[in-house]
Amino acid sequence: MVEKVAEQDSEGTIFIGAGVEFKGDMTVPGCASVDGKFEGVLKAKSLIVGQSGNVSGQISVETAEVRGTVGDHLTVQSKLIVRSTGSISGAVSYSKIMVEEGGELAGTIEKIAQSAADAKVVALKTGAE
Amino acid sequence: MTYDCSLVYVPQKEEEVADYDWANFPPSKVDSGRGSFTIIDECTGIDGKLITRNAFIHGQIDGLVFAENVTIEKTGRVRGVIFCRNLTVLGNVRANIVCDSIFVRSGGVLSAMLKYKNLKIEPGGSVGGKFERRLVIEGKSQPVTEQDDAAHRSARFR
Repeated sequence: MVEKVAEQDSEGTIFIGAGVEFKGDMTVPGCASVDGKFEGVLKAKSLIVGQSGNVSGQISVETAEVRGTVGDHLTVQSKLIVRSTGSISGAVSYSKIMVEEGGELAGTIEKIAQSAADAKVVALKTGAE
Repeated sequence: MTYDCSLVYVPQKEEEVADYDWANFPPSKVDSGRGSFTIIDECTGIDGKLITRNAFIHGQIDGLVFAENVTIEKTGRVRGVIFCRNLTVLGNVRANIVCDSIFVRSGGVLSAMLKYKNLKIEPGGSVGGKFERRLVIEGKSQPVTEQDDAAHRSARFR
């Protein structure tokens, strides 16, 4: 998982390891990888939730790959991938979706048009701007 | 062997479907391993109930689909209620669905109140609505109350 994060080192990334609990707001210009527990507001380019990861709160990302658990509000501007061990519950908005056999999707699911998705996700402020 | 379609008890509650004894589903008993199937072709529309074992729907259905295996093909359109064991969606579905397994293929559009045990969505599939996963306990659904269970068993072939 660390290697995956490191691959995208052109933009700032964060890795929340297994056993780590984080509560609060976070804006990540690159990839947020969560193997621990995150609770709060998360804006990121991509989100990777590991098998032991648990993410809840207001999450808005461009792409997400879920092997663990995601709850509450999840907005995925582009592609949402739920792997076989992944579980998502709550209000989910996505543009493209793929769920592997065994993956769980529960709650209110909504497909958003790409343009609507752009409006829904708050633009990230990066140092380059 | 034949069966009287009008006498087939249609489960009224999702618990009944999830716990449904498909081995005793009348169309499956009639089929007895022959692999019979039904095709609702593109120029066919049904307004009412479709009760069968294996259904391939290319046409339109407004109403109830009650079958063991249902495939809604690219040109297929179903509005209403679907009770089944395995559902594959390539077409357009707007329905209240209770099933064991659902597979949304590329190009499939699903808008549903859905209760499922296994879900699979291919890239290119589109889903929306309220989803709920049923508990899978040793191949059975979540436990129903004894009262419900007794009522269901006595009413199954009413």
